[in-house]
Amino acid sequence: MNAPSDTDLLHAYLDDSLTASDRTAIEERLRREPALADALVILAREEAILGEWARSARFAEQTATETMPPSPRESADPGVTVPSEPRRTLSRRAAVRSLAVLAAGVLLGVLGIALHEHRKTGGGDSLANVEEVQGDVFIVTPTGLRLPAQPGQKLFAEQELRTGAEGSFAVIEYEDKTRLELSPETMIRLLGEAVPGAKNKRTRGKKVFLNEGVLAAEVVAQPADSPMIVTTPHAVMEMQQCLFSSSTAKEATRIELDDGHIRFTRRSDGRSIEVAAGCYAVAAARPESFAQHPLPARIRKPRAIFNESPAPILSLAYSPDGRVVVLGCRDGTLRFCDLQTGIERTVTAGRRKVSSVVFAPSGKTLAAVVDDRIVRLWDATALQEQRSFTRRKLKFTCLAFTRSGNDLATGSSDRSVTVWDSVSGLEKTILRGQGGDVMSLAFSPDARTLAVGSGRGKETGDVTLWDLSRRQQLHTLEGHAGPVRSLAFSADGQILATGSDDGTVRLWNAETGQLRTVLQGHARRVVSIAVSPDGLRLASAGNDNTARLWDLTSGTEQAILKARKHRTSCLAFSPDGKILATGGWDKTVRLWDLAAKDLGPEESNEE
Amino acid sequence: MTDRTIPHGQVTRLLMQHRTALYGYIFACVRNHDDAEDIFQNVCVAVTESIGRLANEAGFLPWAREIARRRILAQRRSTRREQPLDPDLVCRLAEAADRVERVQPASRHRAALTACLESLPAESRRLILMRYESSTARAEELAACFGRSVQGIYAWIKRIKLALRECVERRLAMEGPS
Repeated sequence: MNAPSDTDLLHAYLDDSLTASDRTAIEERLRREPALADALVILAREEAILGEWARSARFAEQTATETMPPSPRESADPGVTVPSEPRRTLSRRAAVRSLAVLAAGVLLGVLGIALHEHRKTGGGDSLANVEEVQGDVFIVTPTGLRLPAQPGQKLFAEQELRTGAEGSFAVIEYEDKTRLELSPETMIRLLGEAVPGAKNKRTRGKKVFLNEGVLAAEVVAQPADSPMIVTTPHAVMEMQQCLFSSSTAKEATRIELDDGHIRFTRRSDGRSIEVAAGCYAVAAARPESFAQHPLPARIRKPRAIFNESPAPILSLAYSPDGRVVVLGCRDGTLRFCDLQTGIERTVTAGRRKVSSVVFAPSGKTLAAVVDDRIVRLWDATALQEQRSFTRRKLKFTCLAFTRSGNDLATGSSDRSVTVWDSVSGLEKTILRGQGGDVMSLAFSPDARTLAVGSGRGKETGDVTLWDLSRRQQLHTLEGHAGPVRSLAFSADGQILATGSDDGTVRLWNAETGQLRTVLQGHARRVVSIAVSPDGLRLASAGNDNTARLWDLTSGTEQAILKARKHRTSCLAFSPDGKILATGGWDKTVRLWDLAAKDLGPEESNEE
Repeated sequence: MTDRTIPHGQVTRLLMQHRTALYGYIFACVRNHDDAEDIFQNVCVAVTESIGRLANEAGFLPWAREIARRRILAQRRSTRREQPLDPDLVCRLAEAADRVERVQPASRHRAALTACLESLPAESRRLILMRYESSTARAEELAACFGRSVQGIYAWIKRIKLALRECVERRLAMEGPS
């Protein structure tokens, strides 16, 4: 073994606290002296073990705090304010107990590594299986190891499952067929099994911590003495058998119940309510009114379903005559679905994706953003390419036609908007000065004003209204707390609707730039909005797996369009306004009949 | 030698089993926990994606270490041009990691060290916990927390680590050769 001075030197080398000359000297020795290199590896390994140990101990402490369900007395007594201090004390006690367990060498139980060895020898069972994975989905172990999740993988207690950005999705299933579906940007931790060797049995049974995101679940009948418990930073939900979705963001947790009933407890004061089927409730970080409310009517059964697309659907457009729905897909194809004949035609537009697609008002031309780099125009009848626009190093994000069809505007990631002559392909105008990347565009019906939605980072988004004839900014609409991904003018041009990553849709006076209404209901990012041709309704699609229908004048939510597994990414009204088409990451297009008779009682689910 | 490939479901177990050895090697090379964590996560993804190419479990650690070696050099090329790593040194440390693993498997080292942590006085254990739970724990904060000077904290940590090292050596000597 090396002399102590060498150990000190190696520690200083690992700390990067040596002078350049000393570093060079020790590196030269490391090349020549195997024993010194061995000693360095051992010291580095020691650092790794101490880091693993400390993180596991902290993790155990956090878990002890997060999994603490309210006592039966607390949850059974609505209206009783429970002081938070005793709970914190309990949590500390639990944390100390966990640390003691750890320190007693029962890392066998808490460290993922040892736990895994324990399971390998038959000492522990998996809690659930990963059934379906789409996009970026990771399993995170208690020691911080992050691994791509795959169908068929088993999930163990204390492991986290995280889904990535838009398009990511995961389904896990317990042995009794209870299913959990994770939307994009969702993180859960499974807490369903007592840690081997630990005396704390409170965590036995199906228990899940929803840290953020949207979790939809179908819970089959649970034993009377062992309900399923879903905990979030704001609430504890206790259930026996039900169908629900729960969304958790920084400020609040919202629960929407389709079937069964749930005991919903607000963690800030311990108050509990029973939420019944067809209702929703919200538990906010700041105590406010706490009650269940009826959900808007639901349309759960689409009139028709097209699920022939082999790839997720990113964009969608109705032809002006209402006969054809065109899909922009994530495999670089355009799919033309003839709604009358059922015939589908496919055009290979690019290699990767068609992220935006729009018909010219005449219906003769179709434009699409392909692979982020090219805007292509096709003859919509012959399906022959007419023209393409591209600019070196420019990433196109969105596009829009004027009502005349003569002009085509494209937005790009360099914060500029280009207006092209769609016939000649010449650039007519370049508008610069957006606050961030351009993410959405819409011409006013009279084509005098162009609305541009943009985003900078995750929490900043605004809308700029441009006077096209003078190339001047008219108004900047501020208020969204996230990028503005979708825009739509009302038919008379008086209202501009904007949808944002902050989960809201805002209605603005398009002339003055004044905010009229904020439409709240989506639990996650609003990815697409559209105004009905008669100008009376607004439809919005969100990352919370729902599309919602709103009265554009009053801002009232009229209906939720929801189908299991349907992860909506785009939508469009039919030209007569009677049908809403939604496309999604499940490679499926659904046509929803918006006739008033369908806004009544729920229909059975189609899946 | 078997020609069966390793099932995907086993990847997690193997990575968990060899996490300490792999991370220790990466950290010895890059000497920065944030960089080491990034590289380790990249190695996990690469290993998971290409596990089908590995014939049996016995070759897992050398194979994963070779992936790590390449990732270390690639990462350093792309992010730290001012302080490049010598590929030869990275190779020498890989050989050292291989030698150390054969003589003293990381699993034994971990078991011994975690058991030794148990025998630490409570305050010492708390200091180590706070020092290592985050790679950014600052000595000034620890000093304020424990009511000592910064130099005092450094000296204390050094004494604890020395005690832990001696404890580990005693335990491993008692257990005998692996």
